[in-house]
Amino acid sequence: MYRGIVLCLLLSSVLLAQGQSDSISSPPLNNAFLLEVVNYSEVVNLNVFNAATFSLKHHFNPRFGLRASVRFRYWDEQAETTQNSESENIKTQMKHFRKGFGSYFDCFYYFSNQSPVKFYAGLGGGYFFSKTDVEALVQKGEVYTTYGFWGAEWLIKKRLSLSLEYVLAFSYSKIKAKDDLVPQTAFRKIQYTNYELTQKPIKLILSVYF
Amino acid sequence: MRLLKIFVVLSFTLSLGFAQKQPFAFPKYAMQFAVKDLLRFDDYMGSVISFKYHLNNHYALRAGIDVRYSDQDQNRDEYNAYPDEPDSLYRQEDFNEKNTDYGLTIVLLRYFRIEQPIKVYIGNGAGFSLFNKKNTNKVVQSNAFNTKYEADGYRLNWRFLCGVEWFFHSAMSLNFDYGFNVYYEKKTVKQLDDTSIRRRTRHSTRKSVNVSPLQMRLGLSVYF
Repeated sequence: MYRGIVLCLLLSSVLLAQGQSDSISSPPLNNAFLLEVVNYSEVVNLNVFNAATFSLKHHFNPRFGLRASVRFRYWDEQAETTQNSESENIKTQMKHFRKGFGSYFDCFYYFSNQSPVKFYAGLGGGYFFSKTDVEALVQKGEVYTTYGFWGAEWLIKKRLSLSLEYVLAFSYSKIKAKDDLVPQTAFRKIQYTNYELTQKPIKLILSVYF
Repeated sequence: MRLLKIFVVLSFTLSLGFAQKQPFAFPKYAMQFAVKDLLRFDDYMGSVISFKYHLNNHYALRAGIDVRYSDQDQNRDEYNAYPDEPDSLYRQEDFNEKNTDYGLTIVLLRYFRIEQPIKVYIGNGAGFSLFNKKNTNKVVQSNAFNTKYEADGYRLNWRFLCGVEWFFHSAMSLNFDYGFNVYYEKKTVKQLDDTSIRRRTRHSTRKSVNVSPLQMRLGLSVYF
């Protein structure tokens, strides 16, 4: 909690103490790293935008630009345990494997150009693939998403801006799983598909121009 | 605890001060957000967008749009596996759930004392929403059954509110509303339970009127 308050006070003092922010209307540089301020269960963190590994923004001109986010995960864990006693020898093996990758691209347009607070809107799409192999459960998932977004960006310093963004996304996800209920004897196949048009939580985005 | 955090940040923001230009004029357009927690925001009046348009310095329209749609399918097949024979299907389950919810709310706001740092306003508006929820669950093979549920209807609401707005930046303000909502809802439900023992259908219609206070929310308006 205190970390969040300190972060917020620091941010407020930087943002509000300077009267010059009214006069800044567009960033002097074309590229920006995108970060997201996330308050999750009372812990305030700075994450990469879109829960990605890298997220960048490029302006072709002050009004029009592209955003790209790339996400990947890989986790492979194997453990073997042997338990010996006078009466029994037990050997257990554990295997956890997870991988995932995806990317999101979108284009945006700024409707106002001269004001320090600009309204923008855009369209984008993305794909994410994941595979999980945990004990007896093997699962493959694919998510296709297309989304529209609109928000307001406030250029607080020449190279720093804060945006608040609404997102409406249409996503199609497909998950196929095979679960060995009793190995060698019975198993279950599950297929899950989902079409969804839904709004995402409002994002607080910090852009650092370079 | 959340209120304490918001209070600390508000007090600090207040202490920094911002001199409002005179004569004051509202910028025309604003997007609105609800301050849910420290650095955590939510939609203000509509889940897709909450938007404000100033007709002039005294009147503004606030609109909120809600859209929700989901369609889920789940197929579950369970097999018995034998070493020397093909796998045999012993249970098959298909589940589908579809939800739709669309809504629009428009409120006309009237501002008073606009030259003052804290502006007072009252508002009056109405909205409607349509909703539908449908799910089916079908099991074949062992313990076969089939269930269906469908609910659809509409909701009308009228709201009256009054509140205050304070500009802490030339393009940003904080506000909160007091007020109440009057809801009228009509909902029709159809249900089917079909098992190997019996088949039962149920049909019901419900109408309700509900008067409730507006949920108190701290709003952030970003003008452009």
